[in-house]
Amino acid sequence: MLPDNISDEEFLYRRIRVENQWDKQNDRPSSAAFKDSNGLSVDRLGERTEQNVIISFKIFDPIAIAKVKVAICREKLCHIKYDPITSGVNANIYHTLIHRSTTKIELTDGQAKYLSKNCSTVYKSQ
Amino acid sequence: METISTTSTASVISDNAQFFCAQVEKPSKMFIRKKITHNSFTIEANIIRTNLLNKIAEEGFAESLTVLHKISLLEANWNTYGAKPFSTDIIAKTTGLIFQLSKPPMIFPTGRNSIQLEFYNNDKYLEIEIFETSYKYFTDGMDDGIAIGEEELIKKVNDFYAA
Repeated sequence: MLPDNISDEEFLYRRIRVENQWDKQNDRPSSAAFKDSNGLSVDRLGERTEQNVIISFKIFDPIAIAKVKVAICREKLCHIKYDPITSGVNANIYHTLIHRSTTKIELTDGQAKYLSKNCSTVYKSQ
Repeated sequence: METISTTSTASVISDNAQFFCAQVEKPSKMFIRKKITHNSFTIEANIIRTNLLNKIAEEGFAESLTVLHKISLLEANWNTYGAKPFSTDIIAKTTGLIFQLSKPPMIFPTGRNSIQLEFYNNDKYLEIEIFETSYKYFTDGMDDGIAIGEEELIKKVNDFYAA
């Protein structure tokens, strides 16, 4: 397990699974990729290298992988919640959620747009 | 009246013929219910159908509908984070809305069971989110989208390009 406290400098990673969430005009994920009714699931980097994250995501056959710095999320007052999944087929000690705030789950449209504009693409399929 | 004549558009339509036909039928029926009396039903239905097909032929609309077709085919867990597939109702609702817009949108599925339409005009940005029973409108400078009715929404989009 990782420490609950996530520093501003840590990166969070999100898979983009379908081309329909990729904004070809601006060559980045649409803000739609950051809208999720269950909170935005991401993987924190933890003690891994970025290459390890990419390898672990590739089994999902993503079209792209985006990363965003925790500090960027906090600039828009998002709440970062470490949420490890400890058992089952989806066990993942890196699982983390980005919430609108400490009391609300879904990101605002402004938060989602900000993340889409300020994330970086670390992998893109051919 | 314009006809469907460009090779690229014709090709796109051909590839998705069944989907396009179904989508043309749905808004036709929707508009017919709203606007047409029983005496002129057949004639008006044909006019509306022709108008919708011509709309598809306008630049970008065929591509928008092709994207929407792909979205309609997404299965459960399509984003690998547990997203649900989209209902035929929300696809039909989105199609009906697109046909009433002056410009074709970029279309994206979200993980909160909504379909997002994006519009760019130089540096300006406009976003519409379509849910099963409501719409949201969002643009630059706002923190969050606001609920909006369909007619007002169409006006917002058309004004966005007119400005």
